[in-house]
Amino acid sequence: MKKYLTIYKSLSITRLMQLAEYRANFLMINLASLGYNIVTLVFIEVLLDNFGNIAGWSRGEVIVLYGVGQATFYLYGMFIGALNDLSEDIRLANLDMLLLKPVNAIFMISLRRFELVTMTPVVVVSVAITIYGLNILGISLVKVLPLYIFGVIAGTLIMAGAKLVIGLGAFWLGDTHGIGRFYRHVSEKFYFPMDVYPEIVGFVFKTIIPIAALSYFPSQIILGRQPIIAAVYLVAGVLFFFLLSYVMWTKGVKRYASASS
Amino acid sequence: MPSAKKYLLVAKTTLADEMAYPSRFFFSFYSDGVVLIIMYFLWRSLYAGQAEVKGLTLGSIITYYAVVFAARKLTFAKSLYRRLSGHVKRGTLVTFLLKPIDFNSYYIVSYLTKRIYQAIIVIGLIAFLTAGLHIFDAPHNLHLFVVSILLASLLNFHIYLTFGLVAFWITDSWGFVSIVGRFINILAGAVIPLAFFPNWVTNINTYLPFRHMVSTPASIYTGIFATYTAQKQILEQVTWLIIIFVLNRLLWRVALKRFDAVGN
Repeated sequence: MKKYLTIYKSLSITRLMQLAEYRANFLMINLASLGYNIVTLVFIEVLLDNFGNIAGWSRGEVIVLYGVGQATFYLYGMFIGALNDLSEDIRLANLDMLLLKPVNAIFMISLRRFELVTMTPVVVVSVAITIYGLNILGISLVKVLPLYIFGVIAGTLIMAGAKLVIGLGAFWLGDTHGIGRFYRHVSEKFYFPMDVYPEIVGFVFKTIIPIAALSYFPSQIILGRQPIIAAVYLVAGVLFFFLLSYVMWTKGVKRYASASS
Repeated sequence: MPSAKKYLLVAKTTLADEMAYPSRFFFSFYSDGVVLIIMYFLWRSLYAGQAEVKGLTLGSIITYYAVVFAARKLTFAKSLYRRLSGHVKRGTLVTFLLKPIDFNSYYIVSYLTKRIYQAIIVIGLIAFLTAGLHIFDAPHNLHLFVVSILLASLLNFHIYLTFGLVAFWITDSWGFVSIVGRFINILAGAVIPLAFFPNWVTNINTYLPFRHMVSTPASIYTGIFATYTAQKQILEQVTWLIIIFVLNRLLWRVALKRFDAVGN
């Protein structure tokens, strides 16, 4: 454990040094994310001004849903964003560098890119959006903090598990980068309650494409809407995706071949 | 080489590049298609129990988003500012300036070729979904829509090319342009029909060109604009296109004086 913490600290320092060289890039990333958040909030506010609620979710509840989804999405990017490159690394046979190191390969694959500094402002904005939504409902974040932390971390782990499964699929399919981008693209745009969708579509978003885990189920817990079912789903989802990715990794790495990289 | 032949070669090369990597287009088509489906279910849920809101029925809203989806495929020009700023930042713009081809003309031919290629696929799909499966409403004033979408495409091109010129002053400008681009999307009516915005927003928007990038052709197609209004809007599109074109050319001359490149 100490070895992994030391390695993670070294990777983090290296990344911070890179960021210090490209400060403008850090500013640009956060400006772009801020722009996206503002536009989406405007969209939600205009909808709610005209219709009052979305599938029975009030203004405060929809804003909490959006804020939680954004926090999950950016928390993933902060710590485990390197998984986005996994399928390309497999396809281009760049895994050697990671497989030959005397540490767990999954650790290196998942945590080699440390974006704490880059992503902190956007995560803070996401938390602020959630607090804004909770204020409208007359709920203090401090009161629901343990539920919030549980929901967001579980959602982040499910997203990480899903991205790991998609990336590892490259051992068999050669290129799953497009599927990964599709999942990330749809996840970012998914900020409406699941109740909007017919049952079959809702089932797909809850299981096959686990988007509901990022915002819907964590919000259910925080807002006290069917919290037990939501909690069970999140725990089951984390276990399922990590078990599946473990099996895929052990079988897939046996198929990996490269002529050095 | 005669001018026309030069640009025909540019068009052929662009088309060959597009057709060599069909997955790029189909991936964006597929992922935007899922967003369209999400919008369909959202609006269906919002309209539950209501026939009309702000003069718009559910059918016209769904058709509006389908046209916005198609219009974005036909008018997407955001990557232009990224490409131009990339050329400026790396100094590779000098390779274009030394060639016997006008930079802006090169890009407009390349851009229109890609749009036409994608238009054939998108129009085919929309026509099938409208006439075959009756998912979308039939078009109003189709001839005016065609004129309007062409003008919108050119307007998108020139607006984003003008934004790309920011790169001559600010090297790392993509975040700034990205945030501005998001606001343009709202004012263009690409996120939500402009009818749903408060009056003060629509009043300000009448003095800006952005609604003509997406909302105007979509509103002509869905019949939100009657024929006379549609014709007026098209005249406004032409006016704005001329203004932005002239502005772009003026800024281009000023920007080139600031440009430096070493080697390449």
